[in-house]
Amino acid sequence: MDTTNSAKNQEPLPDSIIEIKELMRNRLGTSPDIVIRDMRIGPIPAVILYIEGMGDPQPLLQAIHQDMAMFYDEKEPSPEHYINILQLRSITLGKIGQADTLGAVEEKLLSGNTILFMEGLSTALYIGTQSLKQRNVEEPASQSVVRGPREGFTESLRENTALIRRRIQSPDLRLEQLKIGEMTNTQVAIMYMEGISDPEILQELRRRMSQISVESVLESNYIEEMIQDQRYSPFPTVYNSERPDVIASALVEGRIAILVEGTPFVLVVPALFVQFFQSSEDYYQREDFSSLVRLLRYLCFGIALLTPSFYIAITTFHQEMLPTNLLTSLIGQREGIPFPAFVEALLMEITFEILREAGIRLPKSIGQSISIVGTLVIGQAAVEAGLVSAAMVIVVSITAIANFALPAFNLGITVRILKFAIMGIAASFGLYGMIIALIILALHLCSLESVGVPYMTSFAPMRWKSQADALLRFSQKTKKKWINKSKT
Amino acid sequence: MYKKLLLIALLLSSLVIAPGCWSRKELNEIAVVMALGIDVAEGGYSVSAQVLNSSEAGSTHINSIGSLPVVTYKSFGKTIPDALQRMLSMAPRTLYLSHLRVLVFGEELARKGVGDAMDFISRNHELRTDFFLLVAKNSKATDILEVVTPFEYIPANSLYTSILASNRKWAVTGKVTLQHFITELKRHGSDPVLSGVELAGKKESAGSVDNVKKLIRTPCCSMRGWLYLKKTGWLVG
Repeated sequence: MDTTNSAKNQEPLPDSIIEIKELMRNRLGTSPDIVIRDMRIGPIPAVILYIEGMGDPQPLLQAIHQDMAMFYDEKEPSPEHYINILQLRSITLGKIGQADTLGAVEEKLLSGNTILFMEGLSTALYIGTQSLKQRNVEEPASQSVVRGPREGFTESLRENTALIRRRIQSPDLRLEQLKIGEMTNTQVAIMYMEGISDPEILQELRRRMSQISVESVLESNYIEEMIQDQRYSPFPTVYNSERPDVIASALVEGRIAILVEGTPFVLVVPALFVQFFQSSEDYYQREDFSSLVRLLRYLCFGIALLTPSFYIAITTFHQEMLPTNLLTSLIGQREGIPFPAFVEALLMEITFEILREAGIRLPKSIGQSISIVGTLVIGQAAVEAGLVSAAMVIVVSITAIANFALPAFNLGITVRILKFAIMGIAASFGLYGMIIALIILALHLCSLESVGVPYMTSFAPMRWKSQADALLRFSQKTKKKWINKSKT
Repeated sequence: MYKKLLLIALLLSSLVIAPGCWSRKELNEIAVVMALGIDVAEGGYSVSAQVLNSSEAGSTHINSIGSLPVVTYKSFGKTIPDALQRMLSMAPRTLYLSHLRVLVFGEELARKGVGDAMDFISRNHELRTDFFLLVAKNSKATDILEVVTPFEYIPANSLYTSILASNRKWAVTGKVTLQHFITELKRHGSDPVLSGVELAGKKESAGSVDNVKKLIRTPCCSMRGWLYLKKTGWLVG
């Protein structure tokens, strides 16, 4: 399919209008939304092609009918003359150009431009008349803040790049655009700050993107999967966000943003472990509060990952570690429960995951409350039925709530997956097994890379300069002093 | 690549199945021993254990005195571990010694020598070192264990907390932990001491719930000052 296409695509266009019309009809079929309209420009027959709904030929038609009369010159009745006039003088739109191969004409037509063919001319004029209905710029649904801008990206690539440009009004901001996806020909753009971002990483990224060969690109995750390091890790190595201010701050730090037409989620590469604990809101609130909240997020990571395993390990293997009063109360609760602690935990966790997944599909008004309140209610009913112990409901709820406290959703997914694995290990090997699992996890994290940059950078290898924004968030003044004084 | 993964997966799953769940004990399979009492008997030792009764120990029962949250088991044996194992024929679950609160020696045993008993106590892997040692004055250890107390839901806790509190405020009574005792025993030039506990009031009513229900409370267990033990654990004065 590839080779015949590209061969054909490089062919020059035929001269006569009739041939062109036939060629286009063969290539595009007879869809009623592809409009092929005959007309005359002066004495010369011409054909206009556009896609109804995507392209609006109005400016072109207006230019032809109104201005051509003025420029009609009997002495030079050649099509080149008219094309030149149109291109240089009459059309009041910004983007205009000439295409001379079938492939280029197709590409321009299918992205919403209007194409003009004239008899006797083997190049076509394309005019940028895209007029698609877009969503307005709204508050991002997935990442809302208490204080801060409420703009989110939309599905249009141009609007998204404009939103970023608005925030970084610097001449160093560069944009590179390419098409990925054999069937969908989706526009993908790379944005970076010249001089701040590492050219090696850029080169590596370009290399990876040029190697993507996929049929369709409908969302940025298609790109993410293809460019991330192939290390079979549950941890995300590419950060994504729906907010222009997050992307702008990442760009200013030297990262590279990848925008995909058709999705508001923009990828940021390279992504580090510390980044998933940072939220743009940290800089919109006071630094002492933000530092504490950030420490809380690290704590929540630990809680969401380890609480059920801790509970299982201690109550089945290491009862001596509990204070006696707690043990007395736990024993009283577990009396009569038919399942071992691990099965209890597994049941409750799986129930919670089901509720959470179901809550996504429910309409927004009930969906939010279903996940947590639903678990508590079901948990309470299960306790009263004697199926699980009350302490288990608390453990599962606190795990779930801690999971929601993580600012990055993709890290939350990772924690949910790993939690089950560590639960299994805790149930088989107790605290000893848990520590071994954590050591393996730490080893894995330290060996992970994101486009060539070690994942745990700023902790391992230790970068003292970045500590201003890793665990705690220093104020802007302190940050400047710190960065100047630190060695690395 | 996939062969390696398969091999790893197989090894891991055999690791889960083969060791047979390690040292796993579910909470509803253990009988927590709160207090142990050791006495001499003909041909060996008589051990009594105050075990937490889980079904009564639920948190909803903290303030109601419907029935006792503890059960006392007694058994004889040639040695202490022998006696403890014989107890298993009576107890419905395995005895779990880690949460022991007090260890009471009968006076007779203390006079004869607690050395052998100490050997078992200090070597057992389940016992921690934070429980208190007591000597029962003028009675057997079992009698001390069978007393129902107000305030504390579990009688062993009552002994434990009263030792703690009285030691802090009135140094006449002292708290001696296992670590303390063994260290003193081993050290040259010092002799270990233990606190004593004496049963006052009627012995018969000590074991019933009525003891707690009376308004004028007859003190059932009171600390009796220091008892001085000699080198090899013989009670002297």
